[in-house]
This record gives sequence, structure tokens and C-alpha cells, in this order.
Amino acid sequence: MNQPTDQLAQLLRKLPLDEPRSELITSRVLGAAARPSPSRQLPRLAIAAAILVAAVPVAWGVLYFSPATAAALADAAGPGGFSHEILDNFGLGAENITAQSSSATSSGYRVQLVGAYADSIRTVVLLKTDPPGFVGGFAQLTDQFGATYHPSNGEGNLLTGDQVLSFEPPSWLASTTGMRFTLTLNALHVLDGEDVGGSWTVKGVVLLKTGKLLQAPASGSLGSGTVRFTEVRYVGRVVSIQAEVRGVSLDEVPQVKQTKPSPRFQVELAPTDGRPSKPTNSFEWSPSGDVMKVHLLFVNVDPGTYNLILSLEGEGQLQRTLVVG
Amino acid sequence: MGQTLAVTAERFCEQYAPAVCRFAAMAARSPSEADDIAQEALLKAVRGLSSFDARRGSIEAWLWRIVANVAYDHQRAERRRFALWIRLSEFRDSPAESAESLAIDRIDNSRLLAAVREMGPRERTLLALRFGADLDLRAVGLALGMSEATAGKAVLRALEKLRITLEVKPI
Repeated sequence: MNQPTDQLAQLLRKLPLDEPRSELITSRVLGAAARPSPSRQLPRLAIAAAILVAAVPVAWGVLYFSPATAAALADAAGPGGFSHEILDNFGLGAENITAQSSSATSSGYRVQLVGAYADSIRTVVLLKTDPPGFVGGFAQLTDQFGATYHPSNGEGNLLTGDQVLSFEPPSWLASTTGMRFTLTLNALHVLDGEDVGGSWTVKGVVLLKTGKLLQAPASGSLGSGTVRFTEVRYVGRVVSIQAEVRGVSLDEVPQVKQTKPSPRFQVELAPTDGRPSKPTNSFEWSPSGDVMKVHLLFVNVDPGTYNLILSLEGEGQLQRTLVVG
Repeated sequence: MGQTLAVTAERFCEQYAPAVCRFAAMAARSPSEADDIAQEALLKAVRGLSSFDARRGSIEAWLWRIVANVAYDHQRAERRRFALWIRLSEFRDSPAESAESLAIDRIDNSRLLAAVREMGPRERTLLALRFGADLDLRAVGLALGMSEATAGKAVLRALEKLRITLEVKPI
């Protein structure tokens, strides 16, 4: 070898690596080896799968006209294999998800709808893409009554192709009858950083989870402005707070020497008993005349008493107690 | 599975798991993939221990053939995974470096690892066997079904390719 390749070889030998923990791997391997090989279970699984396949066409005709029944049956399955981390980030437990099994393939990419969830705050769909890709371009949800819903949030794991898209909550009509929805996608953002065009349409059924309206905190001052809380809802371990802000701007302020703007407006929901875990939050606002309509979302909120803190850089802070549950 | 085999499997893992894990960490493109490769390869080997025939070669050669095949299968499946794109984008978007900073002794570990992970499945497997698992060229050859000499040339070619990827000029 010449000198550069010798040096490279030495560097590779000494390269610090994020190695799997061999004792953990060993423990898993020995545990798995002690169980029967999957191939020995195959005949039983194949029989079960054959029975399921035979039963599906019979059931389908009945279920189409009864979304509530379909969803109730699907609820039993759960979104097996879906990333718990992503579900956690959306405040969703597997037990809340209605399993779905619709898929579409276009341009060599398969999009599978594996689960859905709906409440009075949001409609959430769980997708798996293979090969992995992020939903890009146009994503639209429509219900059986023709109402359309736009995406508000999304997250994915590009190692597994798991992703969650959050849309507006079901319309009153759909929430009453159960929502039979159609998700239409026209692009996936893939490995090379390019969008792959295509046409993916998947369909599902979901029932609205019931939540409860909480006592809205009292209005108060935030610096030179005022905040009025108009609605607080709690459903599926998520707290949704609607508020109106007057007399002060929430816009982000670019910092000197930094390209990213600093968050001028920040919110926090902290347990009053000092528990270390704080729910993650997101918020958005839109101007409406001289009022800013603010929507705060806190996920993974357990019942309890919390301090709701709104901070506005250079202006001040507003703190209120919020009882959840 | 009998008690005798369970003990053998335990000793087998105790002896080989660390090297398999280090190999996997270099051959994989993510920690989770490394976990999968190490676990799947060792499980295959442990499950096959009872049918291992010592007359057909050493247990090390048999193990590393399994490991290399598992890694190769994973790597092919991983080629289009987006995480790599993110990692490589970060790598490519970093500010241009001067010629001096491209000297080998100044290559930082993250750049080197990123460059290894940018290589094809075959080269990554070669480098991970040779420098991750620290196998000699004969063992690398046995794992990949080639002679020691061919393995040596293949490793050298992979290193040259890595050097070019890193834009390191020969001194």
C-alpha cells in the first residue's frame, strides 16, 4: 500500500464507531434462539392468513355502508409495527389508533395507510412508504360528504418509512356519522432530495374520539398586549388551546449573527407538582383584523394541574393555572 | 434446543459478538441498521450451530460468511434510505476546505465514516471485515468467497476509492 492508503487503513482501524452493545445483542440472540424458528410457525400462520383472506370479501360489502362498524372492528388490530416514537410525538398511543389497510403504488413507491385517528382537534393518518419517502407536494384528505381537509403537521422516520400526517378535525357531519376518508397524494420526497411524482389514493374509516371542554383560563396581559383564551379542549392526551392576542406582535425576530430567527413567542405547560416531564408543544397564529388568532397544542398531557406560561421576548409573561382531566 | 447447544451458543456469542458488532457498526449506515445486522447475523449463526460441519472449514470462516451475507442483504435494501441523504447532504454542504485541511491526518472521524457509508455495499463489507472486525486478508477472502490475494487487491481498491472520495492527494 502507498502512504495515503496505509494512513487511511490506520484511521479506519481506530475509527470510533457507535457499536451495537454486544451484551444486549447477545441477550436478544440467545432469547430468540431459544424460541422456535419462525419457519416452524409458518403453516399455522398461513392457515390463519388464508382464513382472513377468505373472510375479507364477505365482510367488505357489509362494512362499506357502516363506517362505525368497520372502525370498531379495525380498532381491535392496532397499528402494529409503527414507530412508537412518532406516535408519542403526536400524543397518540397504539390503543387510540384505528388500524387501516389501504395501499396504493405509483412510480415504484408504495404508500400504505396503516392507521388513523380523529378527534375534535385533528384528523391523523399513519402511513408507511416503501421505499421510504416523505409525503411532499399536494396532500389532501376528503370525507364522504365532500369536505376537504388540509395538512397542518407531519413527521416521519426515513429509515422505516413511517410517517404521520395531521389534518384539520372532521367536519360536524363526518364526526357525527364516522368519517370515511380518501387521502390523495401526488408527490413523495425521496432519497436524492427530489420529488417523485405519482398518484396515490388510499381510503380509510375512522370514528371521532370524544374529548372534553376544559375551563378556559382567565384573560390577562402579555406585555403591552392582552390574551383572551376562547376554548380549551382535552382529548387523546392532547390539550388544544385557542386564544386571541391583541395589541402586540408575535412575529419572530431575526437575531444578529444568526440566520435563524429567534422564537419571540414561547409557550410552556409545566406540571405544578414539579414533575420533570413537560408536554411538548406547537403553536401557530394567524392575523384576523387587529387580532392574532393563536392555536396552542400540547401533546402527551396527563390529567393534572399545570401552569400555562406564555412568554413574549422583550414584552413579558402571562401565567395561568390549567386543570386538565 | 438442548442445554448443550444453549451453552455453546452463549460461548459462541461471548467470543464473537464484539467483533460482529464492530463490523456491523462500520458496515451499516445507521445505528439501528447496525443493531439489525449484528443481531440477525448472530442469530442465524447460533441457529445454524448444530449443523455446522467442522470438516468444511473453520467456524470463524463460516460465521463471517454469514455475517457478510446478512450485511450485504441489508446494505442493498438500505441504499435508498433517506437518512443517508440527510447525512451526505450535511457532508456536502459543509464549507469548502483548503488543500491543507484535506491531508489524511486531519480527516475527522465523522467525515471518514460518512465517506465509508457513501461507498457501495461490497466495498463497505470489505472495509468493515478488514478494519471493523479486524480480520486478516485470508479470513476476508473466505468470508467473501475469494482468494487471499484477490481479497487484498479488493481491499486496496476500496481504500483507493475511499481516498478519492475524500479527495486526498497522494503525498
